[in-house]
Amino acid sequence: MSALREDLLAALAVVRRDWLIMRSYPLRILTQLVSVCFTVTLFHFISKLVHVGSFTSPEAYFAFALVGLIVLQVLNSTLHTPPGALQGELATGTFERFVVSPFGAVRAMVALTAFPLLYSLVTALVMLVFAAGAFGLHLEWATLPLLVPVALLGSLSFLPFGLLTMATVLVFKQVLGGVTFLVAGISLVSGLYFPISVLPAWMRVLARIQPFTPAADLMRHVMTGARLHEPLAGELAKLIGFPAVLLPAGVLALAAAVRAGRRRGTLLEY
Amino acid sequence: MATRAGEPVTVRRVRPERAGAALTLHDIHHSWGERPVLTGASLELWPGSVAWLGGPNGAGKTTLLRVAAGVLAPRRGSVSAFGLDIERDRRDFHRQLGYLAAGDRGLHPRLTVRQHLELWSALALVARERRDGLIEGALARFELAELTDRRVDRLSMGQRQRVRLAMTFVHEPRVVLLDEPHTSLDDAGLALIEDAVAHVTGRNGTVLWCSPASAQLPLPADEHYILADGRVVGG
Repeated sequence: MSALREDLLAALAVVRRDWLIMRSYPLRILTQLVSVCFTVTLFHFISKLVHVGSFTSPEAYFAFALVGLIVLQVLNSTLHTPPGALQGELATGTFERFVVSPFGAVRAMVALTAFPLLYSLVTALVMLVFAAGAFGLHLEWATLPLLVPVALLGSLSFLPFGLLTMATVLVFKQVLGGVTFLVAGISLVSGLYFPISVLPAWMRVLARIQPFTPAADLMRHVMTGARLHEPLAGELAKLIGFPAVLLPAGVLALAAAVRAGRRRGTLLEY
Repeated sequence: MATRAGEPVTVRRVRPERAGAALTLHDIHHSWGERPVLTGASLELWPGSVAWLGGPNGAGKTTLLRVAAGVLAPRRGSVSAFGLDIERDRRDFHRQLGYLAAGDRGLHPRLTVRQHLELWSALALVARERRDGLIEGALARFELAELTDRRVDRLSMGQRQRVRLAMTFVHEPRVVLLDEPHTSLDDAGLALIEDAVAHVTGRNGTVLWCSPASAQLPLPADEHYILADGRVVGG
């Protein structure tokens, strides 16, 4: 059996484990899904108050904000959930089993990101279906199938940040407060709830040098037909370029954090 | 020769990377902060053998086992199993390894006994076609068959320890490191370990049993070692 196939099967086992644990709390799944539907409902009513030039109608703002909410779900699933899960693995001692397995700690940590990401994509789908069914969200059916590759590209571009936060957990142990701060900052500068045109000029620079803005922009375009703020090629180049550069960097950061932890004897501390 | 704590012991001189050794720890140095714990600990275990490592609390037994398992990187020294270097051949080294950490951690409370073994055998990179047979074997060996679909948070402490042991042995490792495996086990549980250890040595593997006192060792060991002043003595 090839090494890649072995690793894929081991990663699938980690995903299956995370699903089994999640499934053992059925009420948690239900409350999370109901909660996102409440949030969609909230923004539907907020959108009725929006009568500004940036949006042609309250429905246009609702569609805009909905994509922002979906991106935020994915963002939290990559930046917030995996480091939290890693802290849990350290506290319960299950991380040690990863370390002494031939699958290894680094691959296991990459695998830890998969289930939250998949779960957030399912949650995003629920939000979309609920918004369309309950509030008549206009969907651009011609381009909607492109949502799948765009969402995957967007997720891949977010992933390195998750790997970096996990590396930080291994070194500093408690980082979730910082991650919450980071997610709030990203949602501010990447125009999740409002167009970046309303931001001051210096903040607009921040909006252009990360992958979250183009991810939201492209998703809005394929889902609702919203106008792109930058040429398509530029947006795609960012979404491909960020993971191409940062994913290897994230994996290297994880490997360095494991090495440092083994050397200092702090790898299993929490 | 059985060497118990408190009795005179002789230093066993070992050659590094000696061909044919199942597990070689050579000149291991490690410190916790400024406090040296291991100061040139060396140990060689042979295929088909069982060794006991003892020593007082805080002597560094768990530290040495963690070095041997690759959880800790020593300041100096080398670790190899069947000629596989722990750093250079990490993946293949760990395929050979079964490691039981001290304590009762490392379980997922919401998963069943079988789900634990399925997860661990996948992480141990056991081929799919072998997995079911090995899991059934481990369930039988540690008398867990009746508990297979029970969540581990609904098991007694002794039963949980048997699950941890089953996870340690399920992939048929050739080098097994056991850190205080007797924890929470009754006599029947200890007998189950004896059978699992015999299964490892019967396949020309080796087992290192670590506990503070040799009285806690329920089976005859071929070698008895003591960790004292950061070095392994006895043999």
